[in-house]
Amino acid sequence: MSTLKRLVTTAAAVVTLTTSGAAQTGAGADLRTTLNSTLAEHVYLAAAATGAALGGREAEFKDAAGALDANSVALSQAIGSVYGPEAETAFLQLWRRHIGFFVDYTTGVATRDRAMQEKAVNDLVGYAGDFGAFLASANSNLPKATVAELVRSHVVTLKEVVDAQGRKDWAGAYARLREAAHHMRMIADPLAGAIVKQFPEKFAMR
Amino acid sequence: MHAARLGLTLVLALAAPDTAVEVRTFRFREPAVEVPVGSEVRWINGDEIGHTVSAGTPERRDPLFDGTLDGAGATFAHRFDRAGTYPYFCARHPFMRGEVRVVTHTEGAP
Repeated sequence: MSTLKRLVTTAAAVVTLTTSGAAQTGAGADLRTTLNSTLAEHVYLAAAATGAALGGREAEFKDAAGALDANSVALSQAIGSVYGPEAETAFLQLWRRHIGFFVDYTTGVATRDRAMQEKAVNDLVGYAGDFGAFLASANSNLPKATVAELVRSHVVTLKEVVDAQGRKDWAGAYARLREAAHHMRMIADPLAGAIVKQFPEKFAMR
Repeated sequence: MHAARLGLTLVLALAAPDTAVEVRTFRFREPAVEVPVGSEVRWINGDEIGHTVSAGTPERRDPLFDGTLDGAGATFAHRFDRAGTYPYFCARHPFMRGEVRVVTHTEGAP
């Protein structure tokens, strides 16, 4: 089975597990839209930051990184609106870790340091497990292994963007970027569905 | 007076109840707990991933205790025999931090 087909199957299985009728209505739809747009924005801003870093455009990198962090805060606030301020803080700290690992990977690409790249990839793979565990702990409708697999795919798709940027393969970089952004729906939709299923009263039709 | 206070301390130490700290969604749910001298604090992992309960801070580790919580349901306990403030953290996720305050008398005790 191809990687893409496996991912689609995995995401579809989670959506089936977690989606209820309320997911398509009112607050549930708002949540789904928020998560989709915020996670897609995450990918675009991350790629803007890594592209600037690899191009040696320091000032642009600084501002892109700032925008990326603002996106991280917005995403954590969305999580906090459901699970409370302490979970919001923990989520933000966890989420920022994977961005740090991507900075490490990008630095490894820029300096052609294979060991640094490999360590960053290992850190990112480990992070996928952490992220799966976080969501599984917050919401039993989200199986840890499935979430971890989806996050690993996020890591792989974004890594391909950075690799293409490093080669100055711009056509490839933007093609991979679109794929990476589209992939975030496979995380956002199940996450929204699982939250709606967990809190049906909060996300019922208005 | 001194003898009475010493007696109270001993009673509290002997009767010191266990205190449990749940670990869930990558945080110590009770980030600061206060216990009498002689208490055992037990950490219980509610996350499906490993954490540690390591004494000190990431910047300044303390060898006093370094427990592992291998997965959901895993526990680690440490008995605190001396008064003081004991910060701790998770070595795998250094942003996870907590503190145990060990006192010779409980809050509100006469």
